[in-house]
Amino acid sequence: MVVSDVSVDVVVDVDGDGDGDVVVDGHCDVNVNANANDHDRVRATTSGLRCCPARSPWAKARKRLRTRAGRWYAALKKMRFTIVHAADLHLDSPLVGLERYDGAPVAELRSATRRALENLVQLCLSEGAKLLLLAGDLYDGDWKDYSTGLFFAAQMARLRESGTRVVWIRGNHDAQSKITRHLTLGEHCVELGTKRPESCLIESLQVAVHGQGFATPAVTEDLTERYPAPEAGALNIGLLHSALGGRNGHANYAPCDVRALTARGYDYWALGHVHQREVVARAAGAGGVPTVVFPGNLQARHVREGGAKGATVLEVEDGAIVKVEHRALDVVRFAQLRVDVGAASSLFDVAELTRGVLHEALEQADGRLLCARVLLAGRSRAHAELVRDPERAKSEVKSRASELDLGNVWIESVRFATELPVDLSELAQRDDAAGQLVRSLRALQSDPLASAELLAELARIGGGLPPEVGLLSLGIDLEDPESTRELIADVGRMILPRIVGEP
Amino acid sequence: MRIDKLTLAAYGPFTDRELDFSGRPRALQLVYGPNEAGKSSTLRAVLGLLYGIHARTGDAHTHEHTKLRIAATLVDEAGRTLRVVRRKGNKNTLEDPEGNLVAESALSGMLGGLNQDLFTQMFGLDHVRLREGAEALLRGGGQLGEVLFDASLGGRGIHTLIESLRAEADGLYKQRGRTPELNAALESLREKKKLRADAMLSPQAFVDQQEALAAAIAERAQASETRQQLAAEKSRLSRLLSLLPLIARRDALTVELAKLPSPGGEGDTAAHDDAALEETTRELNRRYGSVLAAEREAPVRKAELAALERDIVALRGRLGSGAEGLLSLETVEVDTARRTRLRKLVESERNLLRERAELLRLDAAADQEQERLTARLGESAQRPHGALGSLIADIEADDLLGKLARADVELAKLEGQLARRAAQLAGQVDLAQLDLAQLGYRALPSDATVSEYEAACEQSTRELLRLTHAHEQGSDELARLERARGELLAFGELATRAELAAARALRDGAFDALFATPSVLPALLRAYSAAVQHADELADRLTREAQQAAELRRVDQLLAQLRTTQAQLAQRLSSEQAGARQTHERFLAWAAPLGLCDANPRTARPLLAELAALRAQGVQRDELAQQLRALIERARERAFQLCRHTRQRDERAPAAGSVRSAPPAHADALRTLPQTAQVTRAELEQQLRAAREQVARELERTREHAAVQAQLDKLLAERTTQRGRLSVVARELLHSHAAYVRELAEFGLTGELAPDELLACLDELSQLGQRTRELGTLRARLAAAEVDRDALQLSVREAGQRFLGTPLASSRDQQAFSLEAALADLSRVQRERSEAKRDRVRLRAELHKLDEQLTALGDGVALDELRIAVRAFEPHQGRARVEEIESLLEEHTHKTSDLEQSIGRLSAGLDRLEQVSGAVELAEDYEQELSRARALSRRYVELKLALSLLSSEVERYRAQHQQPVLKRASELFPRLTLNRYKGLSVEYDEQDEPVLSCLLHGGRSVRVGGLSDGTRDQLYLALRVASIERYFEGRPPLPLILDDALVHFDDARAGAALEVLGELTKHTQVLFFTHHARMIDLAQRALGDTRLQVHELASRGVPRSDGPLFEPVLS
Repeated sequence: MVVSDVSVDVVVDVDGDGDGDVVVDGHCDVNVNANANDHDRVRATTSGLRCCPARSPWAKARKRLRTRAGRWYAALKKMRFTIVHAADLHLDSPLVGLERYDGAPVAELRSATRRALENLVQLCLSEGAKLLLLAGDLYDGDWKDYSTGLFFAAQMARLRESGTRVVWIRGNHDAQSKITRHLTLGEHCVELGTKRPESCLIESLQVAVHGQGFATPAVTEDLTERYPAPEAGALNIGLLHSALGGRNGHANYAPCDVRALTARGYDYWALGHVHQREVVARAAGAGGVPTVVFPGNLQARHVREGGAKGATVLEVEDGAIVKVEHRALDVVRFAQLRVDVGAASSLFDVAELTRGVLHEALEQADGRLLCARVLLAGRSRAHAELVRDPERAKSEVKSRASELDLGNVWIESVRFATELPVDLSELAQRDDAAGQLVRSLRALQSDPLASAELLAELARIGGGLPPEVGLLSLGIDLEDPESTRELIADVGRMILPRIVGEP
Repeated sequence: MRIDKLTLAAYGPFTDRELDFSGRPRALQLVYGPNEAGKSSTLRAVLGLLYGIHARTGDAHTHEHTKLRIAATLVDEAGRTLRVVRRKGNKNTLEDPEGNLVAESALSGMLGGLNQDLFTQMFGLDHVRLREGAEALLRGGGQLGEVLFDASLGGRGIHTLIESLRAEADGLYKQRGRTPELNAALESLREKKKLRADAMLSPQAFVDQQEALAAAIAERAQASETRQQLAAEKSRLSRLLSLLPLIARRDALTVELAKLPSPGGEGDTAAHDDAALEETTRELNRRYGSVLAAEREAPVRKAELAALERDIVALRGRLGSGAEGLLSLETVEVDTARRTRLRKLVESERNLLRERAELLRLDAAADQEQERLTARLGESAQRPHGALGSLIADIEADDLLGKLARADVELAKLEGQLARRAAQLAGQVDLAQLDLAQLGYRALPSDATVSEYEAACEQSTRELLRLTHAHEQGSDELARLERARGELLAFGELATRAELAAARALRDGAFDALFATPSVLPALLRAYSAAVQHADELADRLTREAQQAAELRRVDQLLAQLRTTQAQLAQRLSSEQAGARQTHERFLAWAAPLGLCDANPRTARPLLAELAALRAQGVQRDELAQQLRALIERARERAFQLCRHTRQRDERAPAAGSVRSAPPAHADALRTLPQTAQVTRAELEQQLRAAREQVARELERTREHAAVQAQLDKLLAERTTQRGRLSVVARELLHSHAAYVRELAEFGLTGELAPDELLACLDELSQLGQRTRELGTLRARLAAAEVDRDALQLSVREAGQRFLGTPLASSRDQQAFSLEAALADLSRVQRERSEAKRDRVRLRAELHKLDEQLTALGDGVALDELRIAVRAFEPHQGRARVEEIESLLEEHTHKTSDLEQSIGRLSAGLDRLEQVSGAVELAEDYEQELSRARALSRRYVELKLALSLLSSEVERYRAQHQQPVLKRASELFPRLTLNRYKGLSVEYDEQDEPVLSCLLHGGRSVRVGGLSDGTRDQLYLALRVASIERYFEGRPPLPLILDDALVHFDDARAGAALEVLGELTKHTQVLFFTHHARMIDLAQRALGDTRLQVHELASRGVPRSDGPLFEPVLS
């Protein structure tokens, strides 16, 4: 290992008259042989001092350099610092699925991804982080607004002032991003290349970061195969944008597995791409499995990305990671809330039950804006009232939400999964119209043959809709039985109460 | 499942009202109840039994909510019986007759899992629903599928449902529409998309802006540099132009300076000489003034000198012979130290003499005072008192008399309070029972004990009151029931079942006898006839009197229960009274000794508090009396001691000393102090008081004697001090006189010279010395004036030689030397030199100022270089170039200004670009609009899918059920319309959809829209009954409940409908509730007695609930 930038000033008494004649330029190289004995591990030289007669003033200078470099190396061994690992910022990507309504907290929702990035930078500043790792997808690929890049650059500038280094790679969304192509960040920000794996050695920390970004939006080969060997004596970190072995809801880009990652011999793998936080593996001693972490995205963008979002903080001590923990940095929290309205007999009861569930979720959101999808479920006397006028039911729920915590709740949608308080199995056995209807609905959900005609009708209905609100945009895939099953169930819930319930 | 028996144990207006449907299980069960008879309550009770009594039921007006009970016997299709009781409650409301919990599943199993909604939908029918179903037929235009579908479900209005779904879907989206909600949302979405795209800042635009800004800044820098160069050149030329006059002036000044006379010396030396000349001239003139003044004063001084010499001679003459010693001295002056010493000696001697005289006067006065005090001391000889005095002082300290008096007052006060409190209690407490003197030692019950008795008594009283009240109510109820029973039996005893059984036995016996003995047929026939008539009468009576009998039974039961209750109450009353008596006796056991015979625990509480206070005061009084007695004993003891000491003193008195005055008269009082304890308190106090006065007087005398003795001692001490001082003064006088004599001797004087004479002589001598010194001074000043003039002349000559280089013209002739002329020459020369110096300074200052201006204008260029440059400069060419440069500079100023503006614009634009472009917000708006559009789209898809699904289901149901249901309905419809129509058929409408058609005799048909309201009701009833029959095929039956469903039917068609319903009883139980009495007749005519069972609910005139027939189910 060669370490430069060791700050030492050595005054050399050349003519031996007792005063300093030459000031060595305050710079020396330190060679550390990791395999040697302790007393031989530090070698210090300066340019021009490599060959010098013994007992000369230069030799004395070299000796003093060695001493100082040795002290510095000892200090490095005891160094304790923090690294922050984040990914999938998707800066300025709007939150989707939120329908505006009267009383919705529109202002609180504005620029959520920007504020989450500000939180990330603030975390680095408050923790005194020495290194920030960004594992891809800084922007959305089709997002062309350059002010997004300028905002990112401004945030990175804050880190330059605090001395935090940034190492990042491009993800599938960044590959074609015009923002990425034009934007220049400061020298403290290092992008690892996209053509081949590159390494960034931060000598003052003894940390080596290896990684390769996406040159194209879809990278289907295992990039880790070409990642370099670990740097001896340093903490080695692999930076990778990958779905690893494949994750639900994410394209299987840069596929690999933990075994392949382990084979690289690194200490930590900082992954990106998967929006759900996951500690894939934990370090198991020297030479064993490294710690592999998906930190998740910085800010959830839709209701399927529920729970806390943020970054992973690594604490490094004596050249080893001693602590890995997640920090929530999101400003808007998504949640899918199931409200069991079995005990409700009216819309009023349903709204009250929903308020209780929302209140609980708000407490868990820890002061953030809560975007909640409310799923009303259960066999309930209120079912008929709910499906008879779903808009009124939604308005009632939203109204209750607006009353909570200074209106810090946005109801993303209200879904109905309630059932009539009747035994549908009994009903299905009846030979009347109701029994036939129940049987038909069941058959449509379970029997592809039975539903073929209905699917054809569904295709016809969808064909009449513009693409932005077409079936696929609604999550209805005619090839996906699950999505059509859910739709048929919703239709059944809508009409059954009007057939067999109260008038 | 059917209901065999329904008992309204406590529900609505009913108590233990039983409806027994088991008599004819296959008959139409017609429940008749006129208005306010409780028909609707009975109907609700059926649903309440099956699904629970509604939480907010209106049938709890007679019985409390918690007391509502409905019992029933249910039989399933297998003949299994379930007896249940439904109570009002929130959970576990189903019980068996013994009160054990019955699982709801047992009942729901019999109901086939139908909830209340479904049950009422399927098996509940009233005239409202019948009419609704008929109207749904009309709205659907008789679409066969919808008709059958509706009839199957009890008339839900599938057509209305389909239409409402279609309307909602159309209101959401139309493919080429603009106003539907989704169409409008899509339009808005496209606008927002465009806005978002427009708001985006492209990277290239930003870079272009950056580059343009950089170019503008570079151009501005270049223009600035050129401008600076031009400005520098202009500045140089302008400087040269402005330097031209300055350089010319400088040259002129240099020439003028060169023309001035040179100073006496060179440089600093010349300046120094000029200053020295000026100073010397000024000093010489000053000295010359002094010499002139001295010469003017000389005659006056000489006259003063002569006068002084005369004064001295005169003074010597005045001193005369007494001061010969002094005048013999060379100097007439006596030194100050000696004179001061002599004055001190004189003053000291005078003071000592005055002090000795004062001391002698004081000594004489002290002799007189000592004599006076010795005489007074002899008069007041001290009277020793010793232990007696101490004893009396102790008595004083104890303040025995004061304490005795205060104790008396306190005791009297307590006695008064005790008497008043006892008087207050006299009316409430039997004080005869209460020994007040012993009250302090009597224990009083604690407050807890009294509270316990009080609580027990109150509890007992309340219980007694409650029991008495209950007993009285029971007695009233007993009387009322007895009266009711009497009224029931007022017209004789009611027939009993036993009597009827006996009559029937008799009738049967007669009948048997009739067959057994034909010979006596007529008689037997009469007997049989009589028996039959008797039995019939009894049966009729039983029927007629059934209600009275039931009421009588109920009254008897109530009477029996009431009597039992009354007996129990009486027993409890007696027991409670005994307990109350025992409690009171226990109370009296401790209250009587306290005089509280008539009190109860409540009134005793304040009396006990008063007694406690009384007891506390008594104890306080006893303690005070005890203290008083102790005080008296102590006083008596002190008195004994006093007497004893007085006598002892008297016995010792003769030996006490010769200085003793005669014993005073009050001494007898002490000697007569009591020697035994048999003295009265008044005597004791009188003697103690007398002793205190006597002792006080003796103490006063003793204090007076001590004061005189102290004065005498002080006087003697002062005399001793004065005499010592007198001796000292005498010695100092001797020393002082000796010193005086010695001093005089030193002046050669005898000691006989009086001190005052000596002092006067010394003053004269002092004056003489002063005058002599003044004489010497005048002589010296006259001599000095001469010396000064000579010295001045010498100085003037030297100055002329020094500053002019030659002797002054006025002083060249030593003889004709004039001091005034020499000084005038010197001054003239000095003035000339000063003027030349001032000119030089002025010219040099001007030159210096010019040099500074040149240096400033020269912008750092050396003066010589400037002069060279100016000389080489051509002014005309320079001015032309300056004008040219100014023109160029103006051009550059405009150019720079344009560039500045351009940079400002570019920079501001860049700033705007760097700020939030607004695209983010617009993107969010777009997403929110998109979400709304998708939600609408989802709803649209669901609606369209539901419509498709329902259409196919209706059609499918028609295909499956058209034949059997339509066939049966086609049979029923003619019967219900009294053969106005002969059947039903299927036709196809304009859309080629099958529709229902009613066939008239003669081949005509009428569609649903052409039917009258009543006929449409009958058509719906036919379809409904046909569907129900179809439903029960292979399915366990459930009771069909009709509530005046035929109210819109005329009698004939109602009879036909009842007949159809009667046939339906083959499939299931039919409960027909009506408040029209004619329905009974119609049903009897239509069905006969065997297929009909009538249940009448008699009007009881109780308020009835107006709640809905089919209430929502209990949650």
